[in-house]
Amino acid sequence: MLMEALPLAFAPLNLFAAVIGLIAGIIFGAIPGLSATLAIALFVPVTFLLDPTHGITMLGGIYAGAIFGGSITAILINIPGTPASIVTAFEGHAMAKRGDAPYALGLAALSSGVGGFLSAIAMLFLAPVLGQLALSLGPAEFVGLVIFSLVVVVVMVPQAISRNALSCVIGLFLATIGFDPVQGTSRFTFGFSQISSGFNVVAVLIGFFCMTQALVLARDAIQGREAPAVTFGQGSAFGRILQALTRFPAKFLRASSLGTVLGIMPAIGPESTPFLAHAMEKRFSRNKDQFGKGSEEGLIASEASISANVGGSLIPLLSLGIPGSGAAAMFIGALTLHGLRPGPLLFVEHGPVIYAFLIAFAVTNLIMIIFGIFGARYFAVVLKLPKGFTATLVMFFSVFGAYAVNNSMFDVWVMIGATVFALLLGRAGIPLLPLILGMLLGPLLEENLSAAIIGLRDLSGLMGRPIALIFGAMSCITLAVSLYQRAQSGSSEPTLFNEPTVPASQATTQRKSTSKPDTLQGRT
Amino acid sequence: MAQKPLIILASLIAALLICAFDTRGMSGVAAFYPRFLIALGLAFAVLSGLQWLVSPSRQYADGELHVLTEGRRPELVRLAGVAVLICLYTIALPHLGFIVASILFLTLSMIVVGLRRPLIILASSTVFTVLFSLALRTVVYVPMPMARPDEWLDLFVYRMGW
Repeated sequence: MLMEALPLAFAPLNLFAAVIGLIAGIIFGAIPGLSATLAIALFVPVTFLLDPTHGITMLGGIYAGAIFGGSITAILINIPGTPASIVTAFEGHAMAKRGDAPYALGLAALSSGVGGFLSAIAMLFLAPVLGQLALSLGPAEFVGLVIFSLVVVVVMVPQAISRNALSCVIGLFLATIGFDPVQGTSRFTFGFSQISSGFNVVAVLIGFFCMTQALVLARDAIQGREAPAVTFGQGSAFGRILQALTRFPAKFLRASSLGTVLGIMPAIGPESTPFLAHAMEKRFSRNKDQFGKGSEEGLIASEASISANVGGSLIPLLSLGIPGSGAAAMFIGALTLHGLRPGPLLFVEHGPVIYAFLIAFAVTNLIMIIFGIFGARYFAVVLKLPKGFTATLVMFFSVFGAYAVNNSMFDVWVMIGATVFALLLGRAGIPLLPLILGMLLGPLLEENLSAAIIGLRDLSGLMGRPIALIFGAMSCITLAVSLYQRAQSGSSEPTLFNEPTVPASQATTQRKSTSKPDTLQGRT
Repeated sequence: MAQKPLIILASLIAALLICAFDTRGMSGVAAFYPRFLIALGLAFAVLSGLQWLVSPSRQYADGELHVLTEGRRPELVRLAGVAVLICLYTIALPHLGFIVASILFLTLSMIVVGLRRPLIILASSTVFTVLFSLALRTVVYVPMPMARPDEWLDLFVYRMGW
């Protein structure tokens, strides 16, 4: 069957569809608020004009391209095009500000491509097996995994743990707004029917990351600081990018494996994966202090895990018909519309088409590497634009992006509210990162916590769930070790996602004394 | 100025208390989980506030977003102008339609942030908005708020058979 699929996968028209999808995906991903989910939704009608193989290959290209596209603006102007690119923005933009923009973009493309390629290989050979394995995880295991993810983020952000935890709890609490998942009780809507399903997370993220950054750009333009934060040198980064592949093979492999595994698990989408991959790589790295300040290892971890998550989410989708993320859910719809019904019989009934898609997905990721490495210089056009112009465009696309998700003006107001909220939290020194992860994982936590409480009845039931217990133990150990390390080192040492911490009173003074634009510390 | 973070934390605590009050009408799992989170949030907010009070000099404000709320007055006024424009754009969109509201927003915003040559800005904003609106009608189908000019564009696209 694999041999039958090869000619289909490498047919010129199929590869052309992949490239078109890739370009469309990159453009969508680079625009704040326009996610892979939206891109797939908007391009499904276009694929009706094509043969099913070409159609789903194009959608696969859009999916992969959108994930990488989000990293371009994240690296160049510190505006994550998609929620998944937040960690990439921390590391990539810091690298770009050091004058390594082409390298950062190329490395992001390489990591993204390798992650996607490896997950595509995993899809080819492991789809049925891994899909079944993911189904064996119950609510208790999911609760353990989510709590562990939250603990990791709370301890890795440099501010005081109490404020990180407060931020995380605010995020979890914001996620409770709307109907509760068990009884359907309306909570904290205060009469606003628009939030009965909760806040639109994309709108909130646009407010947190895009609109605030647009305001920073606008302020720079008003102050006449037109020198770009990022400059492109004349030299090529091609050699260094290839060297990275040989220098960090284990990192590519680890991040890709983690991304794939998390992608297989339902509801753990590409948004939360890079946080965990980044934290994991920091543990393994010899250059821990570089993380958060433009670490190439951190960038690799983030990008490879995101793309691998995308591929991983396609495994339960194709083999069991279970979507692992929002975009994957959209993909199921597209497959069904093309007469390809996801599930165990898909490989039997439409084997050549599906294998052709999987091979083409792997090839698409390789094409994306070439795009990223050689196209980096052309992406730099963003940097040549006046800051006032860029700020205005980002504001425009932020409003458009917030509106376009649900065609709702209310979501635009949510986005504006989120911007104000982010500014206030920033003023109080409360980091945004734990809040975001809390918001993203909150529904998953509550749903599974309720199911676990009902299913286990009492704590002794946990004895039969060793994986959940392992996650619980890991959370406790991580928290204890972090508290101990902080007590030993004091809070003034430079830590993750932050330059050496600066007292609030000195922060403004320092900014005035330097012509360099913003540091990244605000983003934590 | 040093009290601002404390005021923000106090506001957070007040908001959490209001939400706690709102849970009176809930029962079972639907109430337990948010109440637990509110209790945790209150505890951490109080702890954070105490940390500010004990050693304010060791607390670190957000380095990037923090500076948006401080600076020279004329610059802050213009930045506030940009913020007002965003709100006005959001209010105007349903009434003026996407094309007119966007042209006005793009033009005024670029002028407020310091770009010169208003006529060129107006022309480029118009061209950009119309092309973007065409793309929304012919490629990606995102229905934006409509007014008369948007309907004219719809009619144009229909007559051209795109």
